[in-house]
Amino acid sequence: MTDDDGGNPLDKAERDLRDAEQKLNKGLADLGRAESEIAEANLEIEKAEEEVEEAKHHEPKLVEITVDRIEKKVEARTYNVAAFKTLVGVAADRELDQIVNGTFVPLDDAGTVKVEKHDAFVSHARTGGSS
Amino acid sequence: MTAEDLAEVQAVCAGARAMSEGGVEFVFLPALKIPVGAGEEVRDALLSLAAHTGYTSRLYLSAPIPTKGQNWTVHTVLGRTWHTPSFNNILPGRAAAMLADHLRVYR
Repeated sequence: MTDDDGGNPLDKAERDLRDAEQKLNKGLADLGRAESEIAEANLEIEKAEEEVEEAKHHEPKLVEITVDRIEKKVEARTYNVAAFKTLVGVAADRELDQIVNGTFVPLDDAGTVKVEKHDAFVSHARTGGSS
Repeated sequence: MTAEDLAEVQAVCAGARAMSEGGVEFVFLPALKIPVGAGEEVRDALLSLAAHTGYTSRLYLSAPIPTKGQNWTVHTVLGRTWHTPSFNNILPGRAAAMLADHLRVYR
């Protein structure tokens, strides 16, 4: 008994089976490669996220303060007072006071000041004198 | 005196309010905390924002601060007796800056 193309039907079925197995093996290999690529991509994403987090930790933390009623953004840290005056635009010959708990606290140019969020400063001349 | 000027002063004296007498503006500063040496004194105070009693501006206190300031004199302003040392040449400007400059005499 023969099929339409004249071959043995069993042979043809075996050929079809081999073809199907080859296609299946190729599909499995493709799937394996794809899974491997996905895993690599996930690792790269994780690495990039770690780098972003690390970069955030190294970014200077800017906070809002007021100096003579003008809002300014500076890095929250400890400054030399003279350098801080330069940073916030207060002339060197003016005195800078920090308002702490409702009191003017004069800052010595040679000293340091720890600047934090919402700190308020007032600069003024040193013009007054006893007579 | 602008609202912003007054608000800035209120950061160091919550009850600060503007007053005037004889065409001169003042800021009344109830229970003002005054740094004195390593400590602090509390006085009612009255800051003139223009020339007053012969000085370019004045910071009057409800009572003198012993050992600080020179040549204390007594004045009556806005119906109340005030004390002030001789401390001159603080020119009219922003109230908070004037106040900070006046307070230097008590350090």
